[in-house]
Amino acid sequence: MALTSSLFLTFLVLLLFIYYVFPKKMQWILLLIASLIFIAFSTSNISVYIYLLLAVLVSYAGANLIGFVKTRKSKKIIQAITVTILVLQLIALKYINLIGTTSAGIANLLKINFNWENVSIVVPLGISFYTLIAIGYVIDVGREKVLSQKNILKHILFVLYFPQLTSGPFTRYPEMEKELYITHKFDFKNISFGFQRILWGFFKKLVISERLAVIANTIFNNYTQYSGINIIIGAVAFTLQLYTDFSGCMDIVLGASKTLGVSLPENFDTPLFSKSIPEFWRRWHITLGAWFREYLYFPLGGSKKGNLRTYINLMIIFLVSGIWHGTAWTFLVWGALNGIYSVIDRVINKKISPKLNFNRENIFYKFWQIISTFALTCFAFIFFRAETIMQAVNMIKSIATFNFANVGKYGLSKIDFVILCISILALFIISIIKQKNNVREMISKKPIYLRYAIWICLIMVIVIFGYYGIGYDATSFLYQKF
Amino acid sequence: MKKLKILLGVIIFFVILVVVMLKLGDFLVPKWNDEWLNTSTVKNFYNLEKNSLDVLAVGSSHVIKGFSSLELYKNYGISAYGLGTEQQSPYNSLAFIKESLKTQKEKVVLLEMHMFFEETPEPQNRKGFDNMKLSFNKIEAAYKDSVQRNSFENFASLIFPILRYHSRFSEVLSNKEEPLGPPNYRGYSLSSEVCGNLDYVTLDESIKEEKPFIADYEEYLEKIINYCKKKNIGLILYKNPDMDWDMQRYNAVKRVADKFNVPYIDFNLEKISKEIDFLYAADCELLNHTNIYGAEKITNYLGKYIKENYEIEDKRGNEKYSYLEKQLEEYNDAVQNGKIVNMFDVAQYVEAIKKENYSVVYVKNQFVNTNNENYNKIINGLGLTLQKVEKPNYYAIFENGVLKEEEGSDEVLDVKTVIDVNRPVQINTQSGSIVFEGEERSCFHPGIEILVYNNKTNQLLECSFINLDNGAIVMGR
Repeated sequence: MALTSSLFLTFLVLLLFIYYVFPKKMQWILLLIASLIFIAFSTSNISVYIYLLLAVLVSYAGANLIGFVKTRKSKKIIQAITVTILVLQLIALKYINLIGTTSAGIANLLKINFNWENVSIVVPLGISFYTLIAIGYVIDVGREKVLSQKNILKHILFVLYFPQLTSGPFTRYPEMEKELYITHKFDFKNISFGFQRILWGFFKKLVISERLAVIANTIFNNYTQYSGINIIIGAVAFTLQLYTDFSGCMDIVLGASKTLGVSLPENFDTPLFSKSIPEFWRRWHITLGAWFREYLYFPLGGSKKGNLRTYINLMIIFLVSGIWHGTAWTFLVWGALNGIYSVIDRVINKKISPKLNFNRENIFYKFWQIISTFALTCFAFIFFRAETIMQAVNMIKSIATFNFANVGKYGLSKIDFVILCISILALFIISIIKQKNNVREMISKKPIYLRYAIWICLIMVIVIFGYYGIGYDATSFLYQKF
Repeated sequence: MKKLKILLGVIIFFVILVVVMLKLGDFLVPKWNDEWLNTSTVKNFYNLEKNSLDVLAVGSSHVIKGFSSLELYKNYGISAYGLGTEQQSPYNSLAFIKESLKTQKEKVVLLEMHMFFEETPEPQNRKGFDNMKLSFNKIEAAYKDSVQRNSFENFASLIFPILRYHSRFSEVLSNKEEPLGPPNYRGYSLSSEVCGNLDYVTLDESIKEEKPFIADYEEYLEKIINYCKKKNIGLILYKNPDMDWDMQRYNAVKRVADKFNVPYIDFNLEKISKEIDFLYAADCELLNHTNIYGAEKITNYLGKYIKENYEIEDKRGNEKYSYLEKQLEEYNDAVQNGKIVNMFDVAQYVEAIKKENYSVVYVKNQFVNTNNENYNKIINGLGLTLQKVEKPNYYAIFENGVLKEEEGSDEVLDVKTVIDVNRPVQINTQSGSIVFEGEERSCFHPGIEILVYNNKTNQLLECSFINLDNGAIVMGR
């Protein structure tokens, strides 16, 4: 069930009606049933159900065994086994072909007779998300930060809660326990704010992201015909596409969950206004960064074991983060680039910057920081979007040609281009306002006729200018592939 | 009180939203004004005078091209309307019948059976349906269609067409004029094309097998029958002549018709086909639909059947229905135009183009053998002066049956003139050229070239020629 489909909206409205009419004690059961229906509508492949069940049962059994055994050593062993099984399942389903083809390539170089034929596996939607959520839960139980959930149905709900199932955000059990299993009173503000946020997500995804996708796809899929400024435009278009796509998806997810009274953690905080790469990563896919910090960076020692070890740890989490995003080596390079950026930033901030004496509050300096961070991000995203490392390298090399041929020929009509520019401008203005104010709160204080006019206009903008329906394929979010 | 206020606010918000969505949808829905008349047929239907219908025909393109409401009025005084839309599914047929009863009290419904064995593609399904007003009938039909297609998006966009046509905004904003399309004669699209196809055969009545109905269409047929019975409407199932129809389908429909004691008239049966003197090659157009000749035969048979079996008051001469007389006049003109372009009987043709409302240009472009008695008769019949025609260069212009210009000369004639007050015509007798409104129309065939224009309907009908061929008079186009 695509989050941008009218089926999803209808499903949500029907659920809300039942959710608030039925006795409140049943709310978590209704959420569980809704999550199962959501999965059933999303796939009919039986193997997907088996994979989901395996992840749920393994994490449930592991966490409860950890709670059951007394010694710390036993807890550690069970935790390690459970996490290993979950990671192996993820590797087996998602990375088996990457490992196979890479091994075959290496074997070929070493003149060893080993061939690999890609295995056809149906990868469950959102496997990277629910697996990490389940792993985080098992580790939290192992660390005795939280008691294991005895009720398997409640556990299933935690792992497979439908709004976050396919694209996150990464939730942690201690917080979700307080959201999912308690009763929620009907609160009109939650409902209206939730739907308003969903609308904003639809706007980002259907009006902006899908138009940017046309530009990015045209340039990246025909990169040999483009060079110079076109490659830069392609990289910027893709960065903005990815941002509006993923943050739009999060708006829909968080908005949908909000209508049910369940608050999910924020995943974006206007990251494109970041003034450094580490800041960018604190504001982009926030819950993934938090997950890696909590369950990988800190266990590796974080920044407490000296500079070199800190740099190595930073590289490790960005490399893992890179490969988490996709089954190609391009993602690893993207992760490595971000790791290098972070290390350099740390070196500059710790070693060089203190020795330089200039006004860091200067507006031009801040502007420069934002632009340079954005440029570095766009540069790294060339690897993220390219099909192969060689494609990315060739594209980067061709930037230097200063060729202006094919400028403006990006597969978008004039009117679509105008709509895109106006929409990006609107998004930019709203993002600036959002830095200091809550836009929905601001609107809610306006007179009713103005509020109605604003929301109806936004709906009509999405309905008329959105890329959806026959002739468009706007149903899948980029991050659902990860 | 606070909850009530919230509820009221939500209701008002959604009412405004729905109205805006529907109104903008109307703006963006394409106007299907091609020969299938989907848009105008449904829109005109809603504009019919209240309680003015005796007979309603529903179904697919076979209704659009085969059921001529004004033919029924002309010969039987019946007020009818053909609510046929392209590949209309049975779901939509029932919805249209139900919709009609909101404003009409028709006594008879004619249901064309073609689409009970065919699936309707999504684009075709919408063409007429998008113009149906939002109602429970529309929602029910949209729901049934969407279940069949297993698409919730389809349901949403059938109710709110803006969801389907939203991307047309740039097209609409660019102010491209929608083509007017051919005239709509109460749901009838007149076609004068003749296919000449001799492959058609009537049904093989020795076959006893049945072809199953598509999806739940049998159940829906029963639903339509029961609904009409409940509303005391005489339902007649019928099937237009159709190359794709077969005895298996006939048997399936016949079984249901017999079960509910409903009349079923199948024009593909040999007996009926002979009775109406149906000839597929002459009575059908290329795309397996009846043309003006076929539609006349089908409609008159149905009219006779209705008149004999149902009590329907003759509306001819009734002041309340005087608008039908005006529509009939236009229809008759169009039929006459359509028939002229298909005439090959020279004598009949000569009589037809001499009538009022026609401007006719004659140009002689080669030597015409006037020694032939029959040919001379035709020239006289046309009202042309034989002595002038005998000259090497000749032209004449008739307006409303009256000779306006005529000249025969030994010299080449190069004439610029007008017909129908201000329509420019340029004639050259050396080549036999007739340029009408800047476009060459001549067949450049030996003999007399004839350009026929209808002043009343403002239509250039054709350019034909009459010539002698081995002593025989031939005409061509």
